Amino acid sequence: MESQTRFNLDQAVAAWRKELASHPGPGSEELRTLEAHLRDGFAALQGGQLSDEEAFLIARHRVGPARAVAGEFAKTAAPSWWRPRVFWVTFLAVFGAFIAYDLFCMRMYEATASLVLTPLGASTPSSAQNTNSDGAMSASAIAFNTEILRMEAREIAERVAVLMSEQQRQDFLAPFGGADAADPHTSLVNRLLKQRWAFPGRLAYLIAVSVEHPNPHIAAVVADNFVQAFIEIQKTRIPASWGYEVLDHAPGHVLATEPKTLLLIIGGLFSGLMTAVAATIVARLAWYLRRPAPPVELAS
Amino acid sequence: MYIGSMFSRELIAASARPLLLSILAEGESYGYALAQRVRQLSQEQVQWTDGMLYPVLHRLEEEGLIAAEWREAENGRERKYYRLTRDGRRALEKEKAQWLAAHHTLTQLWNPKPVST
Repeated sequence: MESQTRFNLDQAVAAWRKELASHPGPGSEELRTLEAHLRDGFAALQGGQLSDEEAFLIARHRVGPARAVAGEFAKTAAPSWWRPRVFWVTFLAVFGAFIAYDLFCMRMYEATASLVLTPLGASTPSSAQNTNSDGAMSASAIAFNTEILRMEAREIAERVAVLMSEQQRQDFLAPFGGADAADPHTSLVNRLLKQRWAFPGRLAYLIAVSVEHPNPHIAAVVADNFVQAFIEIQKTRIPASWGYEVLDHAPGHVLATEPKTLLLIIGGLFSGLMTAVAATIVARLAWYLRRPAPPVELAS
Repeated sequence: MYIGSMFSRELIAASARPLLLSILAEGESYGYALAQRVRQLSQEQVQWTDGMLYPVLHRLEEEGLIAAEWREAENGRERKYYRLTRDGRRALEKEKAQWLAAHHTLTQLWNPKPVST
């Protein structure tokens, strides 16, 4: 009787609920449902020969061990359809992202123009001039790097901006939101610097400039302008101090874009496969760690 | 969900779904009453760990086979009442057909008719 007066059902239910909630699985709705069940069980047992505390212990016992009950809820917590298909779901999501990127991103065309220099005094560029007996770069090849840096200089982009017609400037900037009204020239030059890159063919004293743009014609024109600008600026130098002359130059031409699509497909397949394998391992590990305790045989 | 003494764990787990659908086909009910009804029907041979009943109900609800709503009971406390949906009735018919087919197959093996000579 003494024990009965001390027993507080609400406190006991709160403690039980806290224990259940400490396991992953049941949400607030499930806890509410289980509490209603526990109280029903308690009410059914109450009033007999059992004390309130005994009735509560039996009702709680019938609901089951907290870990096992929570574990069963954990199994239903996530939608069950994807669990056995985690590999394919992940693979398709990643691969789909690559394909969507390829389909919906701004399709860029790459145009390349190039020029061939020759050191003053030499009739044709020769690999022998550019490498020593060990095949290492000679001093002249290292000096050639300066020409690449010159091609990459802002001065060249400034000149390209001047060479472009007003229509070409507008067409060039249109896909990137147009020119900055406050300073259209600077915004054009900055964009030109972003869209181009130069790379050397050291053995042949070749400098190639590639320009990326959604409009292949504009890409080709701008690439060509970079080469023209380089030639114009170098012509203003004293030939002896420059040390080179322009032997030849190739106008801008557009490279095919298919290789990029193919690369994206291959990249998507590879990334999708790797991510799917990783997701499967993580899912299995998570399942292993969160697996419910084996059902306990309880005497009724 | 199983603490049954006579039934195997697998059998109790497998029969939980048709059992619950069948009991709810009799009319709406709530968790505690469902557990009691299972005990009564099985003559205490199927004894649930009551808490394990709810994940099954949760799954049935997710599948749209049963619907649930919170209501105030006559004792003033809130209870979640479950009822069978139309899809649930169809699922129950399928379950019935499967269990009866299994029962029929096993009955033929275990209770062979006497062969007349």
